[in-house]
Amino acid sequence: MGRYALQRLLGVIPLLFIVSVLVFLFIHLIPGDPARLIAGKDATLEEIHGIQEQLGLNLPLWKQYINYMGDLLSGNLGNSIRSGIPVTDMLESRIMPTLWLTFLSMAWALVIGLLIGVISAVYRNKWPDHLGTLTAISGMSIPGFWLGLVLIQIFSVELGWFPTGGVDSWKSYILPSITLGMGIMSMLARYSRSSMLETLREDYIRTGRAKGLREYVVISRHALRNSLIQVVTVAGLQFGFLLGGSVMVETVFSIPGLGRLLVDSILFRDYTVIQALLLLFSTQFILINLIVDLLYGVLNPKIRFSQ
Amino acid sequence: MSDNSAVMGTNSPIPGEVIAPEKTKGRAGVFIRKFSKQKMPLLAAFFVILLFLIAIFGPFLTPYNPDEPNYDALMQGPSGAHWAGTDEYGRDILSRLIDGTRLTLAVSLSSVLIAGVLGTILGLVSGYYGGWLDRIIMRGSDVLFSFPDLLLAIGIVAILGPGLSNVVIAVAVFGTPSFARIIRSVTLSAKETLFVEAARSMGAKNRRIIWRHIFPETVPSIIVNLSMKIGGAILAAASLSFLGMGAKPTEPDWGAMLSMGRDYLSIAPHIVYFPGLAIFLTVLAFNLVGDGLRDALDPKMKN
Amino acid sequence: MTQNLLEVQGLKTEFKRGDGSITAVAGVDFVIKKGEVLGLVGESGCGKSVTSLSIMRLLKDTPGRISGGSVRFEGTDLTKVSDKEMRQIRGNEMAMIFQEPMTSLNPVLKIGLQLMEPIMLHLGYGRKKAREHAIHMLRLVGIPRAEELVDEYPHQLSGGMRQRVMIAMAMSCHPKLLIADEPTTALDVTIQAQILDLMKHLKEEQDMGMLLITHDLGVVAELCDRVVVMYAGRVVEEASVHELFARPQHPYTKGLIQSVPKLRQNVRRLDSIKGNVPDLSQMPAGCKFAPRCDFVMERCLSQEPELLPIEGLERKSRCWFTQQENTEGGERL
Repeated sequence: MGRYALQRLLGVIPLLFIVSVLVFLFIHLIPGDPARLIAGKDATLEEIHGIQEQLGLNLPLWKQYINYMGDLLSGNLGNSIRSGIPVTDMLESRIMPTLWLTFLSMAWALVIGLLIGVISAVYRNKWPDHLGTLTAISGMSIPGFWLGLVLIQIFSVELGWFPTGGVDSWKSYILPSITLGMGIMSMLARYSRSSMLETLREDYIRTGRAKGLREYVVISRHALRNSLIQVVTVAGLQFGFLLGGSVMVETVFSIPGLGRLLVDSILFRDYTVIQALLLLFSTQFILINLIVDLLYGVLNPKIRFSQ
Repeated sequence: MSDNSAVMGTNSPIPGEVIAPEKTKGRAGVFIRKFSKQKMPLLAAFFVILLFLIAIFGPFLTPYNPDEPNYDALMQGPSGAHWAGTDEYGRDILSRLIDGTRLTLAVSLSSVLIAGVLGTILGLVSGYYGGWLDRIIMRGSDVLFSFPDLLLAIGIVAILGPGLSNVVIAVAVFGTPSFARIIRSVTLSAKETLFVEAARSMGAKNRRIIWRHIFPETVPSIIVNLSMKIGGAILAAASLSFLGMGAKPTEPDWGAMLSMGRDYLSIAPHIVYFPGLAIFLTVLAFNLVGDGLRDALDPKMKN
Repeated sequence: MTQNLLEVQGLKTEFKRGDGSITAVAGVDFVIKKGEVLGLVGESGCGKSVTSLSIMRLLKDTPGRISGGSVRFEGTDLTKVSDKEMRQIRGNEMAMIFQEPMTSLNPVLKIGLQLMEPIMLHLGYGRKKAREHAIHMLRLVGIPRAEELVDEYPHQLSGGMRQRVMIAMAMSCHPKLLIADEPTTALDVTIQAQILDLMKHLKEEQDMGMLLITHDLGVVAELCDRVVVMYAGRVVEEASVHELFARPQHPYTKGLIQSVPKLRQNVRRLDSIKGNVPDLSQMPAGCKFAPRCDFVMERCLSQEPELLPIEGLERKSRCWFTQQENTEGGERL
């Protein structure tokens, strides 16, 4: 296990490096001079030079990268071009709604997805399976922003059960979580179905039946536990999907989270904020994948006990 | 099937010449039989064909001029005159949906095709040559994979600026790595099969081996993956348009229509309902067709 | 009647394939007496494993189902009992071990728990007592450091050790009948001998009946009292072990015995019998072995012989040629 963990940890380092380089280069990839973009259309040449000086944009690229990384590691992500507020402050105030949203979405998606998948597999090619499969493929095909708007129209506008947006109470999170989790739920349902079907064909399932165990026990104790490892792994790997989706859902439900911040920043060309968010999202994604890998190691005795 | 090819290979002087067409012919027959057995995908396939017909003959089908405002009929609900109602400028929503079909299909198909061509070439090269080339391509796709799909697309649009052509590029970029990976693994296994060995020992050039012997093997996977990706591409493109990073509000893009209708959700929800339904049904149809193709063509990919 | 532990009569199992179905087991009859070891022998694909799964009613998750006949276990027809009653018999009075020890244990559960499952279920023991019993069973099958092993996972064990665990599991509720489907096939030759010794020893100690399914006549000679030879889903010959090896009747059995030296080295192909087992969906009309038989007659091609007792002997054969020979002159045996 120790070696496995170390391997995973070391494997992440080059990935993080490349991502940091790409994100750093982001500002240079935008067509046009970054300093001019930052200064705005009406800026004088002097102002532009001032910004170049201030941001170190006149230095060679590798030096800029080192400065950038130095700032990054000391917790300085620069200031917003638009508002001048330190980017870290902006992120801090925006992070909680997004965390809640993704966490809640994943939680229900995992539980329901797994349930649908297992039922589908157990009743393979019977009506529960057809229903489950159709639900899953519909959930994958539904545009999240549309689902969100339809939910708002029905449950907020017509019925008045939930607020139309914002983050005033726990109620505010219900509709957004349903919206955001739908895609993942469908994917997990499909995945756990096929994983369960595969597991149910294993020899040890037959052994369980040959012992005289009830079908319920065979499925829950022997099959589910094996499938669960794979399903949780896949669920973790889909966190990135949620981060992407949060952009959409936060826009639809006016949630002041990171995703909404990204959209606004892009629309206002607030490049320092975009840069910071891209970095945050991708590191988060990489780290989650790392955690999932490690978790997989903990759940799987073959890895846990290997030296 | 493998028995078949082995036998034919020994009989014909140039194995590939005979095997490739024979194999695809047999496959096509099996495929059509298997695919038409599945009810939902078959139904979905008809829907997709219908969509293409609408895309081609769109201008002849629209009951109204999709771009002409009518200030006497603002935000009217569905009626006999306007089946899907009118939008905030009094434009006929059904006409705009029909008109937008072409745009939706063009954007999604072109981005998926670009991803397919790039990914296939990278996968073939990576799988066939191996070595450092393989490592570079696979590491590259790992890096792309380490960005969430939609965020990658948003990032690309942020760099290139909004607009449909940039949406196509963005969607193509995030679709490429998965193609490359799948084609690479098919290439690896195809490389090991008998007739490639035979072709190589007869002194065939690498490029010829890839094109005549390995590429045909990857075709089912390419088709399946193409069809499975279209739905996602439509969703991604619509999402970007919805966020104001894709189509301009004036264009009859389904995502953009939805985005505009958002402001009138409480008074005229049909402006949001119909474009969303159009996206949903289209994506669903493509996904069902993709599933059906996968089950019929490539049962190994099922999991 | 009471002497028979298991009576299989006209057992028929069909598998759905595409639109039609194929018959994997086509009317199999045999009897296992109390404490007797019956060998079920044949090439792969002859239906012997399906027969055993049908007896245990473990065809769930396969496209197969029992379509006829009866399986009487101590007088009760297992094809008629409810699922619940069947579960009370499985793993309890009737246990089974499988060919693949490497995959027959659940990789994510501790060995102890897997052993304790049937014990707690059938013997009604609590956790502690079940654990002790599990350890006792592991010792019984010759596993050293049984106390530690119960807290380990299957991947830490070798194939031979895992098969011992499987045997311990099957024996834990003192079954009256043990079905062993190729228990040694997947193991190394030296381990095979150890496992066979163990099974022989346990069988004598526990006085249980055993259905041993194998393609290996060496295993049969070592362990069995009586043998049933299967071909293409049918019983073609039945005899005591001595009779069978001394005077095989059916041409197929003769071929099998002639290829014994090769079988000892775990070669599955029967090179001394020409041709292959026929595809179950394309069976010849008459005797199913006719296309490969050296003694084939005209009658064999059109009419299938029945499994008939051979006069004056405790044995049966399904062959026109031997039946004809025997009626013409039994002394030629």
